[in-house]
Parts: sequence; C-alpha cells; structure tokens
Amino acid sequence: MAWSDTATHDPALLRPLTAEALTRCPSVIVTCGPTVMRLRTDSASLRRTMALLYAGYPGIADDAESVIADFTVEFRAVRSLRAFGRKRLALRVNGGPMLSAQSEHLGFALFEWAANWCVATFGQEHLAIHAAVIERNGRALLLPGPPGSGKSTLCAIMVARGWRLLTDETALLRLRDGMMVPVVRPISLKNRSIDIMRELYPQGVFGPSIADTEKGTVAHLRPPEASIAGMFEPVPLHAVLFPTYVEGEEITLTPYAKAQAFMFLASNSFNYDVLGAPAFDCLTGVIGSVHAQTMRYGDATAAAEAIEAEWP
Amino acid sequence: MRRRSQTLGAAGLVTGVFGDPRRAPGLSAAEWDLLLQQAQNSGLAGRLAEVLRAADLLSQVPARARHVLAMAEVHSDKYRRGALWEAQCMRVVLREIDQPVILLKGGAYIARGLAAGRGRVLSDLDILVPFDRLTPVEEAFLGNGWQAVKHDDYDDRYYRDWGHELPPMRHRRRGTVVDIHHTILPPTARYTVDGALLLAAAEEIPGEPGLMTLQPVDMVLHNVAHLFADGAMENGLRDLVDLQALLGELSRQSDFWRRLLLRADELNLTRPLFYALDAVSRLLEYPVPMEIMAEARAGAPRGRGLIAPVFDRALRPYHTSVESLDVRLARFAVYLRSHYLRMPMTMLIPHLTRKAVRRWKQDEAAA
Repeated sequence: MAWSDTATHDPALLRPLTAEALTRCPSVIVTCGPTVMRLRTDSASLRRTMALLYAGYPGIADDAESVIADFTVEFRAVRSLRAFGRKRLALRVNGGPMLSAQSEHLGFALFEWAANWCVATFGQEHLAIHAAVIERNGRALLLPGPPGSGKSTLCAIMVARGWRLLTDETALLRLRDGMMVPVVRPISLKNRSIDIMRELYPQGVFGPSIADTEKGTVAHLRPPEASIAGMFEPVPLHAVLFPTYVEGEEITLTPYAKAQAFMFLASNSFNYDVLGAPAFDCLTGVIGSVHAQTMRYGDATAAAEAIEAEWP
Repeated sequence: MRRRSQTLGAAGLVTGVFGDPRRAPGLSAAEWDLLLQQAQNSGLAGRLAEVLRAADLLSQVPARARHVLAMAEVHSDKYRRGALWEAQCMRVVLREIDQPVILLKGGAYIARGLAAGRGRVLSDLDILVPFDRLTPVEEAFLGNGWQAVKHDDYDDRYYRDWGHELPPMRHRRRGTVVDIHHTILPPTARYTVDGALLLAAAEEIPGEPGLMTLQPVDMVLHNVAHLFADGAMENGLRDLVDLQALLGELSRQSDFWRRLLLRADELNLTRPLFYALDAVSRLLEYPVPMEIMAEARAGAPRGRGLIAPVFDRALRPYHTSVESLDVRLARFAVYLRSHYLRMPMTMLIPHLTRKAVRRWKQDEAAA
C-alpha cells in the first residue's frame, strides 16, 4: 500500500510499517492522518500488540529518533518494591515526569488513551470533538455520545458493514475548511461489545482482551484496510446523529435543534476553549449546513439498518 | 550546508537557543525533537515560537518543527486571552471597593504587551493589594463567584499568618485561580520586601483605568526575588527566560541599570539581584553591562562560586534527557534552600515535619 500526502507530510513519514519492524524496534513513528506520534518502549508484549494492530500503517521504524514528532509516548518497564518486584510499565509523555506505573498487560490500552489525549492536546488546527465519524458514499456521519450511549459499538458495527472509519473517539474538524479529517486508529471496544463484535465480525482483527482497566475489559479492533488506506482523505460532514442506547427500545429518530447540537458538540470538545473564535466560526458553519437528529435504540443491528435506510 | 551545533548538549539546548536564536536553523531533526519536548515541559514552547518569530527565523525552521511551534502558539494565545479577560473581570470586582488591580508576573507582562508576555503560559493570576485591604479584597472576590481552593486548616493558617499572599481562590465557573499578594516575599523570610514601597511606585496601564503593574525596575526585581530570594524554582527556567526578555526590553529606558541597582538596595534585594544577573548572563548569554555586573558583584557573598553550579542544574529544563543525579540533588538543595530562606528554623522544622507526615499519610491512602 502506498500513500501520497506530500501536502502535509514528508514522504519519509509514509513508508508502510511492517509487523516485523514494529515487533523489533524500541522506538517507532506512526503517522496517523495529520498526527505524527512516536512510541518508545522496551515491553515486548506491547510491541507485539502494536504489530498486530498497526502493521501496514505509514511511519518509520528504524530511524524513528531522527524525526520531529508531535508527541512521544514512552513505556519503560520498572520494578517497584510496592508491587512486590513485579514488572510494571512507567508512562511518560514527551520526556516529562512519570505519569503512572501500571501492570504490563494494560500497556496497549494505556498507549491508546495516551495517544487520544495527545491528539486532542497537541493538535490545534482542528477542533477535536469526543465523537465517532464514519463515512459511506461520500456521506460522513458524526456520532457524538457520552460513555454508555453505545457510540463505539455502533461505530464498530457500521464499520463491519463496510462503512469507512475516520475515528471512533476523536473527531477532527479542520478549522480552515470545516472538513472531517480522519485519524484512523483501532476502535476501542468495552466489556460486552467485545463478544458482540467478535461474533458479528469474525474476519475482524482484534487485539488481546485487556481486563481490569478503569473501564472494565477493553479490546481493540483493527480498522479495515480500506479505512487505513483512506487516512489522508478528509470528507465533508453530512449529518450529526446522537445515539442513545435504551434497553428494549424501538428505533426512533427525532430531529435535534441545531443550536442544541452546537452546544453539545462545543462542550464535548477537547480544545474548543483553546481555539476560541475560529472554533466557534467553524462549528457554527458546519452545524448550520447539516441535519442533526437523535436516535434511541435498543438493538444495535436494527440501529445500523435504520442508519443505512436514512443515508443510503 | 548545515552548521553543526556541537556546543549544545541535551542540557544546553533550551538555554542555547534562547541565548542566541540564530542557532536554531542549524539544529538537526533529533535536536529539534528534544528541544521542543524540553521547551514544552518547561512551559516555554510558546515563548520559543515567539522568540523565533521575532528574530524572523521561523522560515528557516524544519516544517515539522514549525508545525509543533504553531500549535504551541495557539495554545499560549489561549492563556493571553484568558489573562486579559480575567484582568478585566477582577477590575470590575475591585472597582466596587475602589481598589485598583495591580497585576504581577505573567499577567502583567501580557497586559503591558511586553515581549516577556508573548507566548507566555501561566497557571494563575497574581495581584498585589495593600496589606490593610486584604480583608475587603478577599470578601469582594468571595462575593463575586470566587471560592477558596480546597485545602486544610493548617495550610490556611500558614498562608494567613506567615505568607505573603492569601490562600488561592478559584472562580466557580471559569475555574481560574487568583493569588492575592500583599508583598512579594514572606514576612518571615531572610529577605523581606516592604509591599508599601512597591505599591507606591506602581503604574497604571495607559488607557486601562484601574489596571496597574509594578514599575519596570520592580517588575524585574519581583522576578529576581521569586527566583533567587524566595528560591522557588519550579518554573525556574521559564522565569529566567522572562528575566532575559524583561531586561532586553526595559533596559532601553534611560538610566535603567542605575535605577535597578538603587532599587535593589532599597528593597533589600542586592544579593538576589547579583545571582540573577550572574545566571542570566552565563546561561542565557545576556549582555549585562560590565560596570553594572561589577557593582552587583559587590553585593555577593564570598561563597558564591559554590552555589552557582547548583542554580545552573536546578534551572535545567524538565526532561528525562537531563535528569541526572546531580540535577535531582540540585533541585532538592534548592528546595531546602527555599525553605531555609522562607522561615527561621524554629518554624521550619515543625512545618516540614507536618508536610512529610501528611505526604506519607496520602501515599498510604493512595497505595
């Protein structure tokens, strides 16, 4: 697979990473849409999971230290007396203070959370909104939703049905033109939705199930190859859909006032206050031109069918 | 041809580039990567961007570094907007009790449009009020949406009895924090500064009635006092970069250096001023006039050669690449020194014991 995004990135950042290199190299650059991130780790198990879920992504494995990254996430194995000498992973961002030392099996989940935080914190040419974005036939849907709304599961189901994934977590709205910019990373599934997705999507590539995180058990679903291939192709937003999972509920789609949609998205943004007026202008422009709806549902597959009927 | 920067090791990258920004275009990608991380961790990424912009060097910076610097500028601009807005809000609150807002440090640099404020980030706003107005000022803030930041009775008493500021207050909705000072060093400290002298010389910002800052030499001396008399070096490198910018801009006023020395003498800050001028000239290559340096040196103690290497290490950026054992020891020594300077031993020992016990209890609770 080959990418061309010379407008944003040096071609050196766009060579496909091999699973072998991801397993072997202690420091790698992963290019993910507009973001250039470095992971440095001495944990073999973390590198194996990286190889499973990030092989084929553009980046640099062998000379990752000679690149200017947007951020560096580092995991070092430490043994502490408090953990009775067990190996733990110490997390640092950008060479700063040690943020936490956690059990090694949590490594990949911690990496994904750290990367989410960094994408939202260090990227400022996009308004970063806590929402999933999927696209089919040129129509991009923004699915905001607090934890428990079923946003991630619904997003994964749509992706399993052939929709393109732009993001399951951090929607990037480009300030200069209001386009939705992909930052395609593995979909984070929690608890029951892990089994649901394994059944619904047997051909999917799943990372290990990671138990005992703050959010229960999580597992990561590798985006389909077509989504990865499209990571440098922004799309205009077509509609906003606020999903709400309510057990046993029939599907109901209700129009949602644009002003309310605006307020929800602004207050569920990671950097609205940092960006200030340009974020207001961009978001009002985009919301003003699309429909917003809420959807209550009790069955995710029925919800997916309803979405495809609404946006064929 | 790329000029190699062999003189700048990991420990000298930030100071080397702030010392002479013309070194920046010669840095390798790996050095840039390290420089940006160190600057970010030390609250200096936005300043770095502005310094390179002012020197018209941004176009000679690698595209990826420019990208990261642009992000830092967006970020620091938020602080600038926030500080200006907060200053206006405080002015409205204190107008009720006919008290001007005297901005200190970062807030003052930004409100005055000084170079030191460009790209500057700040965690809270510091203001100065007369000692005998502390109570009405505190009440005015409490009545207008601010509330005490949660801390225990011991902290509260510490601030009120021994501190040079009230316990911090946070605005209920905006989340912003204000520190209300009545002078710039604790009254229990080795060096003390009479707040009334600072207040008497404070100057209104043109076109902003009710909004003031210290006079220029006092702004410099406040920075000096914070770094080398209070010994608070948590943001030491950022504060030293502030000093470099303040001196660079304010020393253009006539007779600045002479007035700075005189004022240091009046405010009892002669020795800290020497440490500061020494550090800013050695670490950031600031050209302090020779005769001024010689005069400042007169105020220096004999053992000064021993303490300078400790300051130098404590002023390193925060980054694993420069966290050797000597840096950690230096930071600890500076921490001890700051407490030693802040209060007499009869107060210090019970204070540190309490803090140690409390930290131990918190660790226990967290484990």
